[in-house]
Amino acid sequence: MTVCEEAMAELSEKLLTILSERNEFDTLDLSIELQFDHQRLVGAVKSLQSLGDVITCEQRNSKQWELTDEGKEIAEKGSHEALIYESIPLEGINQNELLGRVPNGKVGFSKAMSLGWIQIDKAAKDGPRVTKKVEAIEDGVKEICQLVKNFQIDKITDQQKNECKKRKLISEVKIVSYFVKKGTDFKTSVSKQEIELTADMIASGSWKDKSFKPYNFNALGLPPASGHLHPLLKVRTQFRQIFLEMGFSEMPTNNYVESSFWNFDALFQPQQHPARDAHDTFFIAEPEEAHEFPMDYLEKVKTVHSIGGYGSQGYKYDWKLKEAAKNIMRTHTTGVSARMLYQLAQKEKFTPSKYFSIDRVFRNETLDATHLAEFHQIEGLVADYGLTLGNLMGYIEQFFKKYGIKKLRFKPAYNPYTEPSMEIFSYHEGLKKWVEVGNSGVFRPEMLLPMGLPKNVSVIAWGLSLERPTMIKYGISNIRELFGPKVNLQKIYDNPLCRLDK
Amino acid sequence: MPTILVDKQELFTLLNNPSLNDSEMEEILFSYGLEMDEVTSERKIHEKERGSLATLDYSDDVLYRIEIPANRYDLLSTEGLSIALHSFLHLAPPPKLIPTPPKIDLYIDSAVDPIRPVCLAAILRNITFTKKSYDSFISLQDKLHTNICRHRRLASMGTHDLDTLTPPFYYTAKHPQDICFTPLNQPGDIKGTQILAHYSNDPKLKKYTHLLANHSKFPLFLDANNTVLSLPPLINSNHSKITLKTRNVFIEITAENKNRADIALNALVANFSLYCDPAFTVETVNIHRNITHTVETTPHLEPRRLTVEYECIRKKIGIDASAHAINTCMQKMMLTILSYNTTNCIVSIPPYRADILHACDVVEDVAIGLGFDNIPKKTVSFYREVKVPLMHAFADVVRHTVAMCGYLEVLSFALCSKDECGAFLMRQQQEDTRAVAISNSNTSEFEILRTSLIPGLLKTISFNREFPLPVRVFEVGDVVLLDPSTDTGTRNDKRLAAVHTGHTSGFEEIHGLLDKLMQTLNVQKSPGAFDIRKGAECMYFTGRGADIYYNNEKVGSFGILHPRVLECFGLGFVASVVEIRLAPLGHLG
Repeated sequence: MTVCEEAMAELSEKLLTILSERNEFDTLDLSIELQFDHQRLVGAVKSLQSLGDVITCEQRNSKQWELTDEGKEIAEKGSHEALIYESIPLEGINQNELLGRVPNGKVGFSKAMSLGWIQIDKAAKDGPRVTKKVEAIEDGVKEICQLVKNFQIDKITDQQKNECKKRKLISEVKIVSYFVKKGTDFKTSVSKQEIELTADMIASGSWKDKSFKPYNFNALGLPPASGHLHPLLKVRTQFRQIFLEMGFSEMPTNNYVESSFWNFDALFQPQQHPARDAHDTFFIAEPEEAHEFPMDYLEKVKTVHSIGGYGSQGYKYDWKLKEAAKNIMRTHTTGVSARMLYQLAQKEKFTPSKYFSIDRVFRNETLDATHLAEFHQIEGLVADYGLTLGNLMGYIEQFFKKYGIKKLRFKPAYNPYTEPSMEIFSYHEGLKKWVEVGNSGVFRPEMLLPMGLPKNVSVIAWGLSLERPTMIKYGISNIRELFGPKVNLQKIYDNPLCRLDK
Repeated sequence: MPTILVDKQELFTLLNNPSLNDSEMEEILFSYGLEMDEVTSERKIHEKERGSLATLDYSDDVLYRIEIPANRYDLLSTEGLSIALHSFLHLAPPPKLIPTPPKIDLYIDSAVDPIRPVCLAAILRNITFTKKSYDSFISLQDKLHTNICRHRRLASMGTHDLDTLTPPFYYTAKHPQDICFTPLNQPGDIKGTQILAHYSNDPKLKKYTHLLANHSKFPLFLDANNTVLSLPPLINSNHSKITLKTRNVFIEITAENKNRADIALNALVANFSLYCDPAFTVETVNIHRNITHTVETTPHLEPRRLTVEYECIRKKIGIDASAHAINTCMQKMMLTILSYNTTNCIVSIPPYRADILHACDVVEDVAIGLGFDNIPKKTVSFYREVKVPLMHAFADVVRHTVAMCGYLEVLSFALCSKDECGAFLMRQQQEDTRAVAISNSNTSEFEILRTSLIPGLLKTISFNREFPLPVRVFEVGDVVLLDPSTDTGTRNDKRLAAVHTGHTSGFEEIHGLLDKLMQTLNVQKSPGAFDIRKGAECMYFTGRGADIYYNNEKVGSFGILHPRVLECFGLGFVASVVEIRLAPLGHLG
């Protein structure tokens, strides 16, 4: 037990003794009577109250006059005017020198003048000279302050009170006091209550004789020093799980740098497409160009772009290897899908396949609350004989259903590498409107046939960003709080379990 | 995606359907693949831009701002949009453009070949403009310039009042000092030598001056009297400016790419021959090439033909529709059925439907005609073994282990500044600072691809000063390294990095984390298998950095960061870090 706790226990017992004699008391009255700090008295009453029904308390509000800091000083040392008076020697003193000797000298000087305690000779040869006018004074202000200090406010007249208030020596404060009575379990001595059950008590058996302090079950527990996974990656796990449940295999996506060839050309995206401009895509200075392309395939890609083929009229322009060789930060993971489909086409016999990926993509965009230069793309694709647009819609419905979205609509759209293409809209119950949640389509023959996939094989695909559903799920409005160095670590520590289906 | 502003009243009049309301219109647009961005008016737009109340000069007529798919250049005006929707809603046959025989010749001088070799032209006769259709005509040219013409780089067009000019026309190139004319809406002549400087501050045209900046000659369009029509792709002359009174319009397009010039010209004449008398007639022009003496007649308005198999359409969409129903869908989308039998049909594709490259585009049109909502949705299922790349599964094991040791996972950018992975880590040697570099970043934050995960962790800590110490964070992610053995010359390398920062160094904590990880991976500490040797990496405080060896290969390092490193990242505390490669630990190549 600390010294402080001991003092508190002593005070508590003293209060109980007083209560047993008087049956009741008011803490404020008692503090005046005992000349004891009211706050400490209240503290002791509170600790008695926590013991159960030993005492009963009733809160009372009252007002009380208290000394200000200046008033306290006066109660101790005397008023400014008295101090001025005391500082004047018999022979008198130069006025400036006098004012310098006493703090608040100017106030004291004018008060002492108006009280007629001192006089000034303005014509003195060394400047104005102050001398005492009366032989003795009575420092009434100091007396008043001392009365306030000793809670004898009833001995002060209203006029004096107002005078002191005007001089900001006293102020009226609200006081909360307690009217204390005996409780049903009243006793005059309280044994010290234990807070913790300890191993020592169990070893010695002393726990049997101890009483234990009641717990405040509403208080917060101690936060554990725990580690946590990042919220965005928790959602990634959920999406990965959805794909795995649907029988999709994950593609290796460990190539942030991609050649324009796989990122754009293989996807039948023409070389003058705006997405290939410097203000949309990060280009690589070193290593500037990719090398080693599957040349047979590259020739077919070149042909289908520049003069067409496979039933297409192509884009009719001068396709350049130089442009296709440019290395970039991949703008989507669909380049990875193109590589996978190309590999699939190289196998002796085509096998229907389902793939997905969730990984970073990069755009050289203006950054704002919803756009970063890096974000994660979720993509799913199915390659099989005779897949239809209806199949694509079916897969998308299944996918979003697992993610808790049941109301979907499809809007015709344009993508360079899919036809038909559909934007996916879901009904947002909060916003009461349809919002876009993803993009989808059937890969164009101009993309698939040069790879060597059988003519009757279709590939259907859909994609969405990982950040957007996560922001909606966690109620985050600024993407910088989710991804990058400005993330709030406390939020990672605090963030709750994520279930996409709820 | 381009957007256009469409006058609601104008559109409804052209559609012959004045009783639609805004939400019905929005629904129609949605099912066609168009998006109603905004219902607004001239006044509202002005007030939004200026943030103040507009004067009475601004109209309150309702305008729709509509988003158009990037490949439908024929829909970039009220006229084009209403023609398409007319077919969609009422099965109205699409306008058949009628080319009339050429009367006017245009000669191309080979001097243009190195600058802008392609030139096409067309004439719209007996046209009647109203204020609205005139504005729409100008706006369509703007939209085409921005989109199909890629900001005038690949093609650009000029429209002229034919009656102010004397054919034949000449497309040539001249030295700037030999050029002088009054450009559109300018008070007087400007010399060719001054024209680029003159427009270099023009808010609308300054972005095009670079297209001519490096040429010793400028392309120039002239008539028989040497009157300048235009200086492509920058500006037309004031002389041949079209006005509301113009009756005959001469259109010239110059280009680098002929296909784009064709598309732009066809979109322009298809939308505005509507106002000619007779409607939809387009007078062709003979284009002569000096050197080859070949003559080409433009524009090319012949519809394309495509044979489509019904069964193919049914299979691609997943429907069971009759030939007749499919024909109707195609007609809704402006395709004309020339002939058909039970198995296939021949469709005619109007010259302004440049988006149709392949039969699959017709499949999409049928699906749109049918309505996406009416297509039955079915999944197919086939068994295939599900695989996840081993590295992904291994990385997750590592992430969970480290998180359970009390570390918070963060996610930092793969792009960073040169200094963050170089000087800030006290790396000076060239082999330590080599990295994949970005050529066109707008910000110094994204100069290179990270070669270490540590800077991202330190930056995250420096942005989280309020978080109680000690701070323990980690990341499992890819750094990117130069690697000549791959096709792109780069390779992702997956790593774990963790930082402990607080009042004490935390060295033992980081060491303990490493030991725990190795224990989880069932690796015993023994020389040659997993051992720790005195290291020499410069980011560590002298004598406080160690290298981690696995099977005698260095796989990472850990230690107390050098105070100068902490200073560079603005950290006021001591920090210990570990960074380790995952591929060797997981035996994953």
